[in-house]
Amino acid sequence: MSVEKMTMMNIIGDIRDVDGVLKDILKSEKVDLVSALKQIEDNNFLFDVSDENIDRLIDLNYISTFEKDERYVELLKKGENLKDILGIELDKESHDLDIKLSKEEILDELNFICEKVHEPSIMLHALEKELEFLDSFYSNSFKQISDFAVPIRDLRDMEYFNFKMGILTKEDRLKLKKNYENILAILLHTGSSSDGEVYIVLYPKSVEEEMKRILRSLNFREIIIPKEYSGTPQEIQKQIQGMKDRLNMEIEGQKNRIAELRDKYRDRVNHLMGQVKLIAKLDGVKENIAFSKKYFYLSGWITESDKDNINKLFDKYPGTLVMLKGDKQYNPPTKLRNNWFFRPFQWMVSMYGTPSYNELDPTPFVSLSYMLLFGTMFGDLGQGFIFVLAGIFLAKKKKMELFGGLLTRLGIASMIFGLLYGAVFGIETLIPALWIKPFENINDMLMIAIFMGVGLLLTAYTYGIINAYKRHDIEEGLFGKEGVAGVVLYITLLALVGGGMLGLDILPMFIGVPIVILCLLAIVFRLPLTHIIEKKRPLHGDDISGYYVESVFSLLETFLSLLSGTVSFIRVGAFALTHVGLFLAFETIGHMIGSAAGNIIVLIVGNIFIIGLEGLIVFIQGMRLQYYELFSRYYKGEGREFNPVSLEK
Amino acid sequence: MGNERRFSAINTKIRVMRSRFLNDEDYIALMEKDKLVDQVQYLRDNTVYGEMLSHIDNVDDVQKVELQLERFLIVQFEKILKYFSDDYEKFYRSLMFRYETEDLKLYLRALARGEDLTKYEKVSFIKNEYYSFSYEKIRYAKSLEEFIDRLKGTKFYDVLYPYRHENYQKLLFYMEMNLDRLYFTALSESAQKLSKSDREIFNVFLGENIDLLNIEWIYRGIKFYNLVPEELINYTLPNGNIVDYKELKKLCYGSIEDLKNYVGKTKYKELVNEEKDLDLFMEIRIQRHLFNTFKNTFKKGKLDVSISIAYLHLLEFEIKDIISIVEAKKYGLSYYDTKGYLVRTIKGSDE
Repeated sequence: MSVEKMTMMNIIGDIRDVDGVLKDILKSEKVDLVSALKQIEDNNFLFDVSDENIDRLIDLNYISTFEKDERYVELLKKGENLKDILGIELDKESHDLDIKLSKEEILDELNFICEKVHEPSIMLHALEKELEFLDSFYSNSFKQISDFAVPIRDLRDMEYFNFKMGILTKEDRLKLKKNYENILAILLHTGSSSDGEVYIVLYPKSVEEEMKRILRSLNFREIIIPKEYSGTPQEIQKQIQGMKDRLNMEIEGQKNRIAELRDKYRDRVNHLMGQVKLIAKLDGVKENIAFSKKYFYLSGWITESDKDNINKLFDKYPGTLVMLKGDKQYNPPTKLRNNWFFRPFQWMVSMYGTPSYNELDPTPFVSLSYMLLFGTMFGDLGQGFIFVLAGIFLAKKKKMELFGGLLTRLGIASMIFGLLYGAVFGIETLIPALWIKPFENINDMLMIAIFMGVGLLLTAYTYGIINAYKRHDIEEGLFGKEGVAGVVLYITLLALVGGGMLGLDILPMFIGVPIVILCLLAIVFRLPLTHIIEKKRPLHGDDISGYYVESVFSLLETFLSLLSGTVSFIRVGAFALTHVGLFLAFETIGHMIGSAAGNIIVLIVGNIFIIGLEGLIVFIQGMRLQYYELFSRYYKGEGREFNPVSLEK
Repeated sequence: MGNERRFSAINTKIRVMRSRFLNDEDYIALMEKDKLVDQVQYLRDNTVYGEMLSHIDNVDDVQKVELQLERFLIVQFEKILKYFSDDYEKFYRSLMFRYETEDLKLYLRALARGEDLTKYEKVSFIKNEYYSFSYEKIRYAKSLEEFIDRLKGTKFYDVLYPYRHENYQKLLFYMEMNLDRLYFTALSESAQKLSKSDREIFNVFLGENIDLLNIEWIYRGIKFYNLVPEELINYTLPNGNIVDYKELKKLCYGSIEDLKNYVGKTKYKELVNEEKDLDLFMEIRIQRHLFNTFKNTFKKGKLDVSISIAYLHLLEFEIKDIISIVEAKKYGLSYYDTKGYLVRTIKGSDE
């Protein structure tokens, strides 16, 4: 239910142990590494000067950072390439956590396997290309004239005629067709290819030159028929089929060869790639670590609760010095800890921003208020149940635990309010209302919404003041428009205006008005007042007039935001009414249809519509109230998420 | 988006741009100057081309002056492009496609002469970003085959592919014809995406242009190129306004006299007016015909695609005329002769 307490951990160890220590840290997934060099520069690697430590202290003078070895990029490329050729799926589980091979050894071995695989893969590629060529080209070219009984050889041997085969585009074909009577040639459509239609052109040899020019003007793309094809189209087809069969066989042979190689080397490549990835990972992590001649220096954040476990990890490395520095310096990362019920709402909070380390975790408040708002707006036992089911389905089947969980909780809220409103799938006559029927008490509903809003806003203000206190921010906490002055102003105004509207004399004017004026003055003069309390001089910054202009104008904003913030919550009541109203509309349509079946269909469609569309709208409106009306009053979300290093990421 | 929203801003801007065109006094002043240096100085001091021309140091180089003038057109093009999006932007870009093909032709010719393409780096009209092919890639091509291979993946590749292995000095002509055809195909394709009314307007412009080009093509084909009629007809452009395929076919299989007779009866009759040498003046007359068409378009001034198209063409003709004047000075033509070669007619001119 809170932000976990952090501590900075600084480690000095023997440089020979660095890989082991890092691997343990990666495996534990509990350390958020930061730059050790920065810690050293800021003198955070302080330790007692004793005989035992003197060596380490001297060595600090030779500090340097890790230089990344770019060779593993090459290794990765090689490995990926191999993986593609062999069709191996790298399996993550079998990664060996011990690095036994050097980069050179890995490279040599990968090269060796690559060489073995290279030849069959090249052959396979060439064969497949040839096959593709045969497939797309010749078979298409002759397909349409398979009943053409003249062998190509006869065409070639003609004494007075010549022929050409080639492709024409649609446009050019049309041109030819329009002027066919003037062309001294016979055209025969023989097939189609991806570029256009294939034709054979037969013409007298005496007009060869002319014909060439005409065909050129038509963008005729000639297909040269190789000499070995000389039979009839049918024979050629057979010939091609024969070649294809042979090619297919050869391809099969090469594939088998590759499959054999795959079986032989799969485990080895897997192992090598695991090593490469581990090396790469370690190298990546090492960028944060500083090295001297004999020692390595490592810094990272861990949670207070983990510190004993972590300490134990390093027992096996004698001479490793672990120092815990607490959370006083710098900006610790934030790790939120919430129980299972609130956890899905953490997602909503982090969408806005991660809380700072010293900020209250807003998750519990967001969870409860969001469920309250959603339930009020979308109270229905049956439809809520659908949300619960959908949430469970998403969480279990689609691996969307967070969103599914969120949906389940919202569904439960909806069901509770369904009971209070007495609504099941929109029908209001099945069960009695435990509390109120929204549509029959419109004014009450809107009033309730406003009261609810006032309650939520006051809670938000409280959070804001606590956060300011934690930040030691007197200016915002005491005199800010979201601070004590703002809250007092808000409550006074509520008492004055609300009392006036309800006809009750909660707060007499002669007390209320001076309080309002005092609060406004406090907001206007917040900077000098803060400086007086903190005994700082001068009272203002450089631009005194600018400060007051801005300050006075911010009063306007204060009033506006108080008013709009409060009124904004009317929507909660309005949506509760819409929810019933929408269903009423469908119910009326159902009555108009008259028949029982029609009635039921309309009710089903109506419910789907309401669950889908209105559910979405209410979801968004609730989010808007959270982010805009509430968060803006108390939540900054400027923290950094605790992000421990691990092998996976 | 309606035409009111699409064109109100740009058409207003174009009117301002058009008001900066040269007037008759400017043309006369230019023709009266004795030297190129003076002409350039006049353009610099008095016209909208001043800024473009201030970039050249050596004003004695006619080629450089011309190139800068032509680039001005591209600059204006860019300004207009900024006002459009989606299909309209694509349409205006496809108008620009012409300069791309012109550049490509330039390279093909250079290759045919066996020259190094890198030498032509500075003479291209358009900026690198407007090329649909990789300019960096093609300029280092050493042979036609390599050149065409490097165009792979562009529209040009398919068109030029059949000529890869052939003797290209002889085939340059065919390649250029194919490139032109490609431009017209691309243009009418992109025009299909315009709104219905704009499409119709543009198709009328295009159809007229195609008619004129076809007439000129057949005239030259019969007279100079010695092509067979089948070739002639295959290289004509489809979708003309008044000269349809049937007529084109008749003309291709006919004689020069038949062509003159036919054209004499159409609205393009000025083209075959024999007062002046047809071989020399047909081109100018075609341009003059278009010039008048576009000038009238401006007078109507509707909120549609016509104004911007008309502006671009009128600007092109203006630049052409300025170049003609500059060139005429180089060849020592008289004031009177020079006027005859201009697209526009200037006070006191014979036509």
